[in-house]
Amino acid sequence: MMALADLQIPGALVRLVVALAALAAFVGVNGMLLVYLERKVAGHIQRRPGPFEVGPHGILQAVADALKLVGKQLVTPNGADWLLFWGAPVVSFMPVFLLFLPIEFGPGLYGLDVNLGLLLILAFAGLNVVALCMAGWGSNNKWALLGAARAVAQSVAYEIPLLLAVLAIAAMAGTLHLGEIVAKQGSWPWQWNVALQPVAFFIYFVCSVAETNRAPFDLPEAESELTAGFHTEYPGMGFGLFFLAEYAEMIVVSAVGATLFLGGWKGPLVDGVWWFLFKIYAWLLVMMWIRWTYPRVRFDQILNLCWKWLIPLALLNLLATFVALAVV
Amino acid sequence: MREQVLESLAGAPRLVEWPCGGRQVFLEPSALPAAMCRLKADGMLLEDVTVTEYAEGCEAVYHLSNPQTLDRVTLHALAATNGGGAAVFPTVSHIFQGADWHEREAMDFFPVTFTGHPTPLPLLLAPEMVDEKPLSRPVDKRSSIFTVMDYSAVVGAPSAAPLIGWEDEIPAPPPVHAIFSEGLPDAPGDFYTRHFQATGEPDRLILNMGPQHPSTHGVLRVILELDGEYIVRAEPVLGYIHRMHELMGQNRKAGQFLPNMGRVDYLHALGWNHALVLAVEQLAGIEVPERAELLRILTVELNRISSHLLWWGAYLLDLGAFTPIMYGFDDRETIMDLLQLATGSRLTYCYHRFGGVSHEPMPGFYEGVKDFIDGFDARLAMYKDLVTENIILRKRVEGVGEMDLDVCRRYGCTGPVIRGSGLAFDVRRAWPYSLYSEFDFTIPVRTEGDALARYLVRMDEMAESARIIKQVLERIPGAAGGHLHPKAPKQDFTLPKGVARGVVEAARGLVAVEVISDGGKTPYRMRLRSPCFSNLSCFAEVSRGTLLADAVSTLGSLDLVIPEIDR
Amino acid sequence: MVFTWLNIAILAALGLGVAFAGAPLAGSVLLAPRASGGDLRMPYECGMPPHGSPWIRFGINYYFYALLFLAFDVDVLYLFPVAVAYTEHAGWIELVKVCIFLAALGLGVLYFWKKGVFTWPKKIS
Repeated sequence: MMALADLQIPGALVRLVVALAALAAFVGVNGMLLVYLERKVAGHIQRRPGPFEVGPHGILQAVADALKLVGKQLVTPNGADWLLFWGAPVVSFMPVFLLFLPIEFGPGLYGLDVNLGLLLILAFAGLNVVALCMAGWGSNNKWALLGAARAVAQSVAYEIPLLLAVLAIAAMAGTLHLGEIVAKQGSWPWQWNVALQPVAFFIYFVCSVAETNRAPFDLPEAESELTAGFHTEYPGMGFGLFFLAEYAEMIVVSAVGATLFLGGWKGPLVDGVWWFLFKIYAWLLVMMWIRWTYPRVRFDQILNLCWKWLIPLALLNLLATFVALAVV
Repeated sequence: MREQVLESLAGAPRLVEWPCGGRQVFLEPSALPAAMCRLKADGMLLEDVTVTEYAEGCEAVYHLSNPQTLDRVTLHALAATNGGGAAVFPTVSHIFQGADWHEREAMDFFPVTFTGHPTPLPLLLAPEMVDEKPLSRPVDKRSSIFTVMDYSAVVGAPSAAPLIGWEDEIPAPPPVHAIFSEGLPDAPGDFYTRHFQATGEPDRLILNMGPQHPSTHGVLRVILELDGEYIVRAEPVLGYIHRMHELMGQNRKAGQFLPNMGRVDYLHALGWNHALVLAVEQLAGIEVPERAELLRILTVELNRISSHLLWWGAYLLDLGAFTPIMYGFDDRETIMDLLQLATGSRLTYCYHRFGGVSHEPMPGFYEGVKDFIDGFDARLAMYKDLVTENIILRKRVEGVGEMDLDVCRRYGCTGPVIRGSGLAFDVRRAWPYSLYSEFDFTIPVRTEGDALARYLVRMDEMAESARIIKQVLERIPGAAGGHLHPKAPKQDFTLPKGVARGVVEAARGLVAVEVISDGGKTPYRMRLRSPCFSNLSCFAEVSRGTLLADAVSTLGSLDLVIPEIDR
Repeated sequence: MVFTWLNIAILAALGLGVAFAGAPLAGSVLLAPRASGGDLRMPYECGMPPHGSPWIRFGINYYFYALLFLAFDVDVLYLFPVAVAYTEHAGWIELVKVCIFLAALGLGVLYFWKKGVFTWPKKIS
């Protein structure tokens, strides 16, 4: 109660509550939309219409899927660790709203004004690894165990080039506040950070695909090798939550990417939240395009791509950034 | 001594003129390992082991061929079933490793034992059914071997005597595993996991990949012992879709057995159709008109393209690319529509008949084929651009699952597998059947022996099949005869006595249907030689010590059709 | 530790995440059928009864990668304050210091590379 008394900003509290409610709606709607979009994109890339039966052009397919998933029995496998097993999907979903809070969606449109926003996102995004590890270990399933081991090795490995790429931007902007990073970029594409830091952008993009376990880096759930990887045993909504969390994380990485490299909500002619959403969806569509185009890499290849190429590249890039900042 | 053996093998009398040629040698069972050693040194490949039960005992026939010189040798050995006991042969599984599974299969079906076999477990039958010996006949139903073949010239001839000097060259069979001498460990799991000969090291996962696994393409099961991501030992377990087609072949007339062929290999049904009609036509001396032969080639090659397309899509699915299979199915759909016009069915075709094919294709077939083939080159070029040249695909298949020619010979691998290992061994060119000798096509060969080589061989084969189809389309308007020979017998005719073996090149390799008839209403024995069976048998050796992902890639590159393996 | 506004925001967001995840799970508990018996609860091993427990100490080939990560991640964290403050205090001395730090990191990668941690044999015997 003492702590609450310290609060002298009821306006911030209102903002937080409104933001959380809006984010709940945002994640729910966009999660559904992305599930639908992914299947439609996959369909059109594969020269078929995709979902077409539920509603006009199948737009209610995601709703039908969600209802179906809710209607499925939650089966706990024999010998599984109940707490870890059912804790995992919840833990994987837990940080999602937090990751959105510091992001500035439009001019002044943010949930939490925090000067270490970038650090907050990077710190809590790591919670997903714990969830995957819990799921794999708690399932009492060998495929899940292999998937979890892969997930941990992959996610932690790609965190480093990701951090190094982000650091280059942070060094340039001199801040970890996402709003200020946007403010330092201009409206036109050549004024965005991507023009100044193309290497960091490339590294960040590769890491964003790898961190969200998307093909071609979907090793933890590589279904042709590990049946379904860490979520082999999850029925109905257990799987659904992992699925939704994955999509929510995709939105987060693309939102952070758009903020850091693509000028956030700034764009030619009229600035605003639509530019931000447009950039997020463009990013997501490219990720989908890649997923439905490429085969999966092998596990040693994915780790070595990180350690032999991305990390040295990111280190050099960071060094060059520091040198350039010192010289200029 | 060595020279004597060579002579005895070379000078053995020919018993039956087979279209593939080859020498027939009759041996004492005890001489088999020596003869096998000799033939292996010659570069022979063990195609198949056919066991047949006669009144005199069980006969084991070993079909060997040299994929390089195209020589063929068939070893016959007859062992008596002493008073209802088992006929005994020495194992040759330590000489030709491919014989391992053939012998296990024979032990499932017949009262025979192969002494010294390292893992005498049931292969296709369920463990609880293993005493039933489904292909064994009651004593009064057994025919004499002499009604089937004129063995009189060789039986009793001292063909085994000169082979004795070879015994010191025979490798000793591997020791039988402790499981079989000391009994089973008291462990959970089913029959096969308990018999799985784990290396016994600690910290290893023993894991079932299959029968319900996305990348085993059906109900194949592989027991794995994993050290982290590496496979220490892999042991395929078969029989989950075993339907005893060979017994069905004995229970009905040859014509009634024709529809079964589409169920053996549902992806290249017409190849199997062709093998059966070839065998019966050889046995009964039935002629086929030119037009019918052309129709056969046309449909078989179309079917080969559709089979390869499905493999292509499914293989990329194994490697994690989801889209190519849809593109492959796009083309495959066209082929299935076309084959529906010709054969009337879409997947399990039964089009070939003894003496021709069942009917003329419906109108629009030839035009449709022409349109398809004209556009197919562009499609292949697109597949090459989109998929084959992809760097991730290259990295996943290059240098993966390498098998050299020696592995192919020891296990009897044929088809694109041996062609990817550097030998242009294709039955269509080796022992041309039908009218293949009159067409201009090349046999794609790669020397690397890895998954990429097999991939590229299959991609090139599609182009070659398209070339053959183009030539057939040109020839067919002027071809002589109708779709069926006027003197062709009724399809349910009774086969004359004798043995015949139809050998064709199907999409997955050498397919042979061996028909043994004693003049009864139904064939006395129907032996189906499946290429996938032999191609898969090398998996345990090839995948040992590789990464799990590489093993999946290797498995996919073998192009397995599980119903064909299990029959 | 001072309990600040930020902590409340974090806890509220995490709590919303848990609630958002818990709601459909609770819905499943209420709506879904309750079948039991047979092999329903058998761990999935491609349809076969599992042979042995997965909870063994099994060899992970990428164990070294995890160690390497640990070393790196801690070091990279130090770079955050450096990066934020760098533009204001950039000078040659600072540049040399940062270079030394980054060179140490790069040498770490090189050392492990040289040690063969990144080499995966195609086949183990």
